This record gives sequence, structure tokens and C-alpha cells, in this order.
Amino acid sequence: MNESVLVFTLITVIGVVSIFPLTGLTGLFSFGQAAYMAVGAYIAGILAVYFKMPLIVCMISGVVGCGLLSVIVGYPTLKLRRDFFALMSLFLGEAIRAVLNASGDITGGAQGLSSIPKWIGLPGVFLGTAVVIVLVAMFKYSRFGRMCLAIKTDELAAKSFGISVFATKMKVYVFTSMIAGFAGVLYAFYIQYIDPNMFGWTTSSSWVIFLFFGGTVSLTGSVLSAVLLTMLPELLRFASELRTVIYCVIIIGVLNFRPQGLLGDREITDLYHWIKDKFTRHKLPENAA
Amino acid sequence: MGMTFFVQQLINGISKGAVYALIAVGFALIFSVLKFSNFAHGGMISISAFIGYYFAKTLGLGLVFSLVAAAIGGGIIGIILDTIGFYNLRKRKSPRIFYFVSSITCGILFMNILTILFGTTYYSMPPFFENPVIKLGALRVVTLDAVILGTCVALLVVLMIIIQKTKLGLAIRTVAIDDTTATLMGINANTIVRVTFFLAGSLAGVAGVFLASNYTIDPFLGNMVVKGFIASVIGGLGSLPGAIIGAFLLSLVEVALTVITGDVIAPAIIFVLTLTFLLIRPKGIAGKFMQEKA
Amino acid sequence: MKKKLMALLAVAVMLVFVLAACAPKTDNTPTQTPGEAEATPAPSDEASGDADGGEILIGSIQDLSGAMAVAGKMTTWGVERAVADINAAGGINGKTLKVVTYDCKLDPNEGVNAYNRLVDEGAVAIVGPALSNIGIPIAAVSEEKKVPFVGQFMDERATINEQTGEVWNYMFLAEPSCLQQAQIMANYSVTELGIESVGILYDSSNAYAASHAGPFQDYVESKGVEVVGVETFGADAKDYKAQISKLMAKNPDGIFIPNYVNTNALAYVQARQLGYEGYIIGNNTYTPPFTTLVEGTPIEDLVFLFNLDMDSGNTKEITEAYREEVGEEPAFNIAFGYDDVMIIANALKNVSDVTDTVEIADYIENNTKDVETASGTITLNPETHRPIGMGAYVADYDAEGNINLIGYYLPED
Repeated sequence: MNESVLVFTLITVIGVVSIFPLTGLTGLFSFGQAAYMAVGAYIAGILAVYFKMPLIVCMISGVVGCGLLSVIVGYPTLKLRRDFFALMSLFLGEAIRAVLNASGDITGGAQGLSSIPKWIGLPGVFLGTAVVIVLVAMFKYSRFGRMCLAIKTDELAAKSFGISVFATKMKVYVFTSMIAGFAGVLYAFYIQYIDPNMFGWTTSSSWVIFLFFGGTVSLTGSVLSAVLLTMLPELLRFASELRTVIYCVIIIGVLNFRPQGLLGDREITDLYHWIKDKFTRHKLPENAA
Repeated sequence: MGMTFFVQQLINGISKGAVYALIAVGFALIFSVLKFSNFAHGGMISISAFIGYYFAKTLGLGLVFSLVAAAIGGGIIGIILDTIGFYNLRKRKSPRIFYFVSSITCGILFMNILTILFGTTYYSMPPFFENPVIKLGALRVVTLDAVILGTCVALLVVLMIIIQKTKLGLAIRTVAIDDTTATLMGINANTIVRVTFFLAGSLAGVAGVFLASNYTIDPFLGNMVVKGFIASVIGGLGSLPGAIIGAFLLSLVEVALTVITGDVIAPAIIFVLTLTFLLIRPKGIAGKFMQEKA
Repeated sequence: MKKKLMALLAVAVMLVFVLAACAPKTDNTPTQTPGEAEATPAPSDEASGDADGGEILIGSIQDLSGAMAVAGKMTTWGVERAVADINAAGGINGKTLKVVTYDCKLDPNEGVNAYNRLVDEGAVAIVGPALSNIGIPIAAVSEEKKVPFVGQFMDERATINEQTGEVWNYMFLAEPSCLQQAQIMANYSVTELGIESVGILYDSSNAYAASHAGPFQDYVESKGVEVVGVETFGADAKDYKAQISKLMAKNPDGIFIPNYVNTNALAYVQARQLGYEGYIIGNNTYTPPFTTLVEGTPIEDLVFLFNLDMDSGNTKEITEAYREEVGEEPAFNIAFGYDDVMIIANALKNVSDVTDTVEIADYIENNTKDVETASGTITLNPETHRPIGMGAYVADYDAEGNINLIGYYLPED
């Protein structure tokens, strides 16, 4: 168990947690979230390498840059029906990859951006992950979270209740994109080298897979499944060739037999309540029959 | 750059379009009947390419034989796909988006199984034609491209006849409109869906063999299905001829972009164009079905 | 209430995680990854790399299951062969050399993990792949962990830190860099083929291709050759007829096409189908299965780079051994693996403390002179950590589809 394995796992956790509000709560599938990770990573990386900006500036710029892009992209694409949105998100990923490859002068193109300073280590990533989890948890239990769930269940009904569907979708989309960008920033400053091929649709798809496996509506499930499915191949290295196949089989199994995922909609807090319940003496009311 | 250049580029565009059209036909069939984007079509194309390779290279049989073998093989794969990917979803009446996710996953699964079986090297089909290139003065037409174009048109005609003029076609069209009502009318919706997948799989089979001949074979050959999707969208949901037209439009636009701006940012431009198209005319050029609120 | 609990949950999950991380390192017995060649010295259960048991451990990171797996497996064969040869000749001053190979799956994350894992397991030096996207991130890590990494990652940024201009102390390249290779082909095209105009066609999403295209263009332009056009295409593209027609309209004497083998094959076929009759100039990926992939199109007026003469000199022995053991034609990757081990062994034999990785790296830097390897002799330049005086062949195909070496050329620096 070495440091880099932990760091990469935690960054994947941030990635999966980032799509939790979008896909898990609102039901919008996106195969381009890794593209926002790329945008965050590149903005932060370029500022650090060529403009010698300090960490804080790079980090904020990366995240805000993602936010801006997501507003521009989200506005037209969120109006489409769900599977078109999913497909456009895939094309977005490829479009961003193409732009990165083409702008070799600034980004290094296909050859990547190297010698990014190492400003983030395990403690930094740890802190970042914890912050993100707390933020998303707060989101889930807020009014916003409930509106998203309503939209996922039945969009028309949600509208008739006065929920502004489009505005909510936009807010979720921007929120999730910024978190993905944050993951990118952390990643860039840890591994010190980024290239456009690291952020393809296969990465985005694997996040969706982890989310599904853990339980679409369960944040705990997402975190656990991201950790499990990233660390497991590390420990069972013999199956490295089969890793993707195993992921696919898991998803097909989940979709076919347990569409609500491993944990359904249970959270770790439910465990706490359950334990508390066991240890509480239930008093019978005075005049119980 | 004279006339020859433009005509040659036009020929290049049409050649590319023929390849896209081949993919689009099978994709559009599922798109029209079952109303979701079946990305596993790419996986079926990859598998069929290898089936074709086996018949053409290892067994040494000719093009026609390989096509037939791949068509049958592809059809069977289509049925397998339905069983593992979509049958349960139909039974549970899962939301449409699940079909899409399932299709992508199955596509990835198929391609990765091929990688495990055949590794990541490249294979190629034996050459099928004595004269690989037809020369018209300074212009060049690749024989295979012409054959693909012809086959595509022929397949389209056959498919349209089946769908418009036969009882099977009638059943398919009914299920496409509403599968519950179709069942009430005495049609076994499930069987019809299976048949549709068999047909789509066969089309993937033919596409696989032609793609394999035109290019090199590797497990990820099927990733070209994305072009089929764009073509279907442009052509319009529910319209098979529309998908073919869409394919040619797409390829000509791509060639035009290459000539004018260079190919590097083409994905970005395609993204913007597809998006605009979807917003302005989600029905596509010839589409019949309105887009639904997810 | 729920919000507080959720915050607690986050911390709790993290705590579990940290505890797992701080747990005593599970010393996984290095397992053989699937697909390795048969000629493997059976690994013992000891994983430490020092004097007890008389063993020295080195590592190897290769792509064994990704897109470059074919090359990776050949390199692994070369590595294992070299280790076996060294042990057969008495080992390193009497100690047995042992190698553990990990699969990086063409993924930089896996590469970094593998490097760290090998360092934790006690490897004193590590053989790297011919992959720059793995080499460059490991360069940064190697400064921290200080274990030398010898490979064929030809992007110059894997050996020299782009920002500081200083060499990465623990990274060593054992083949000509991409700049040098592009120069060799460019120079040949200008002086021997006499081209006066050239076009370039490459995959802009492929770092390997891009790293050749740029230097080639710079070099030919500096010699007064006109670059009529630079056409690109993206990943997964298979039809380049539009790009080729565009180049052909300007009638260049040659077209430089430096991509991976399948793309090169398709481009070559399409160029000839469109009637292009000029030279096609290639990099070092025009080797088998190129001939099978272009079947049906005659191979003419094609020149490309070929690193080594597989059938002569030091390379001959391992080439024949590979043909016998595996039953296939080897590519020069078998020599790559072999060379890396030889360079490392040269240091291990002459340092005072085989567990001092800094000393080993230092020795490789300053004393890799005329080391006997499968590629001939290699001398590394202490300033750049790249070979001095290492060139490559320019080759073409003869009428029967066999590779014919035209001449050996050295790069300019």
C-alpha cells in the first residue's frame, strides 16, 4: 500500500462524488465529467508552470474556469432529452481533448504538460476529499438535493410542483463540474505531468460505473464502491487484464438485477441510527393495551 | 488546386460516407424501433470483424462467404446482446436511460473480451479485389468503397421492403409505436424485439466485414459507431433513409472541414454542429418521432 | 442533525482509510503478471534486495496488457533473458540477480504506483518501458525516491526537466531520443533522397507521433526544404484520404508519416491508392505487422528508421534465441530490455554498496562507457543521460517483403 495508490484512489473518490449529485440525485448521465477534470488540471497547471502563480490562485482559477465552461456548455445541452445529453457530454469530452491536442503551444498538445510543481501530497488530497464529501452530503440533504430527486423521479410532476427544472439542473451541473475540476487541480499538482489522454470518456465511464455499483442515491455507497473497486485491482494484481471486463459485468449485473445498487439509498448514518436503536430501551406508554 | 482536386475530395467524402452509412443503417434500426441509442452496436461490429477475419483469412473463403457468415454471426450476437443487456430492463420497465448505459457497458464488454482473446495487435483482411483502385484519369476511386456504397443502398432497399411490405415489418412498426398495445393486438413484443436485434446484428456483421477490409482490424474498430449515431440524429429518429443521408452529410462536412481548417479541432466543431442541430431540429431531416421529455 | 452526522461520516470513512494505510505493509509476494515469456527464472519468496541470500532485486515496468503490450512483452523477454545470461555467467560478483515485472497498462497512474511499489519492495534499479507518458511522471517521483530508472522513453523531457533545464538525476535513456531519430530520417531524406519539398501527416492525439513531427519539420526547414503542408487527424480516425489529397495537390517529393504501425499502414495504402508516387518517409514503427497490414499494395519508395540490425553483431544471439523460443520474428524491443539490464548490471558490478541507489545512479551517469549490450556498445552522456554516438539504420523493404538495411546513420549531436 503506497502513497500514490492512496492518492489516486482518493482522487477517484472525488470524481465519483462529483457526479453523485448529477447522476445519482438528478438522473443526468454524463460521460464527460473527466473533461472538467482536464480543464481544471490544465488551467491550474499552465498558471503554475508558465505564469508562476501560487497554489491558491491556480486552484481557484481551475475550479472557476470549470464553472464558467459548464455554464456555457450546460445552457444548451441541458435542454436536450436525457440520452442526447449523455451523448453530447461524451462529445464534449472528445472536443476538449481535441482542443488540448491542438493547442500544443500552450498545453504541450498530445505530449502533455510536464514539470508541474509538486504542491499537493497525501495530506492535501485527504483534506480535499473530506471537504468534497462534506459539501456533497450537505447538498444531498438540502432543499436542492430534494428537488434533484424529484426531477429524477418525474420531471413533469416536479415542474407542476413549481420546481424550476432547468435552473436546478444548471446549478447541479455547475456544482459537479467545479468539483471535478478541483479533482483535476489536485491531480495535476501531485503527479506533476498531465496529457489529454488521461481524461477520456473511459475515466468518466468508470466513475459512472462506481456510482451505480454503490447505489445511485447513496453517497456512502459511492465512496465505498470507488475505494473498493480502485483498491481491489491493486491487491488482486493478477486480474489486471480482466479489470475492465469485471467492471462491465458488475454494471450489467447491477442494471439487470439490482438497479438500486449495492446500498440502495442507505447511508452510513443509517447504520448509526440502527446501532443506537438497538441500545435504547423502548418505554411502553402508560396505557398501552 | 483545380477541378480534379475538388472532385477527388468529393469522391473521398462519398467514400467515407458509404462507410458511415453502413454503420448508420444498423444503428438507426434500433434507434427507430426501440428508441434508444444502442452503443453496443460498435461491439457487435468489432466481433463481426473478427468473425469475418476468421472466414476470410483462416478459412480462405471469399468476400461473399465472409459477409454471410458475419451477418449470421452478428445476428446471433444481437440476440445475446438483448438477453444480457436489455431483456431484464424491459421486464422491469426501467427508465430509458438505463438502456443507454447498458448498451455502452455491453459495447465496452464485447470489445474488452476481444482484447483478451486477440490481444492489442492489428490484423488485416486479405485483399479481395484484383484491382483495388479504379482509375478515372487522375481521379481515384477505391473499389471497396464503391462496393460498400452499392451494398449499402441494396441493404437499405431490402430493409425498407421488409419493414413496409411484410407482415413482420408491420409487427415491427407496431412495436415501435407502442409495445404494450402491440401485445394487446396479439403480437409477441418480445419476439419482435429479438428479431429486430437479429436484424441489427446482421447489419453490424456486414458493416464489420467491410470495415475490416477497408481498414485494419482491432477490438476497438467498433468505436466508429459514434459516426452512426451522429448520422442517425441528423437524418432523424425513425427514418432509415434519413440515417443514410445523414451519413453522407456528415462525411462531406468532415472532408470540407479537413480541406478548409485541418482536422485537429474537428471534434470540437462536430460537437458544436451536432448540438446546434439537436437544438434546432431534434426531429432531424426526415424524422417521424418527436423527441420525448425524458 | 443529519448534516452534522454526514460530516462525522466523512471523517469516519477517512479515518478507516488512514488506518488501512498505516497498517503494516502487506508484503505481497511479487506475482508474475500473465503473459510473460516462458524463459523466467522462478522467483523465490524473498523480496529484499541486499546481501542476505546473495540476491539483488531489480524491477521492470512494462505495458503488458494495454495498446503497446506487444512491444512490452518483447521488452520483458529481453529483460529476463539478460538476467538469465548474467546469472549464468556468475551473477553480480557472485550474487544472483532477480527481476520483478509490473504491468503499467499504458496508464501513468499505474506506472507511478508500480515504481513506488518496486521501491518499497527493495528494488535497487528499475527498467523502464519505451513509453514517454510513463517515463515523464516517474521522472518527478524518481527525484524523491532516488532509485535509477533506465528505459527507452524517448521524449527528451523524460531525461531533462523542461522547466529547469537540468537533467533528472535518476532517469536514463538507452536509445536515441525522438529528436535524434527524427533528425536521422530528415537528414537522410534531404541528403540521400534529395527531396526539396515534403508534407507531414500525423496523429495529433499521439504524443509519439507529435514528438517526431515537430523536430522533423524544424530540421528540414533549416536545410531549405519546403514543407508544403502539415496535416493531422485525431484518435480513432481511419480515413486520411482527404488529408492526403490535400498534400498531393501541392506535389511534395515525399511525405513524412510517423505514427503507430496500424495508422502508418492505413496511410501508406491510402496514399498509394490515391496515386501518390513520391517517397513515404517513416519512423521506427514500420516493422511487422506492417507488411501484413498493407497486403495487396506494393511496398515501394518507402524508407523508415530501424533501430538495430537484428541479425548481426551482439543482437544476433538474442534474435535467434527469441525465434527459437517464441517462434516469431522479434522486434528491437527485445534488445531494449536487454540493454537496460546490461547498463544497470554494469553499475551493480562496480559499486561498493549494491544497496546504495544513489551511488548506483551516479555510476550509471558517469561510467556507462562502451557497455556491451544487445545493441552493440552504449555510452551515456553524463550531461544528458542519453547515448552518445548511437545512431540507427535507415531501411526499406525489398521485393519479397523483407527488411533491407540501407545504411547506418548517426544523429548530429
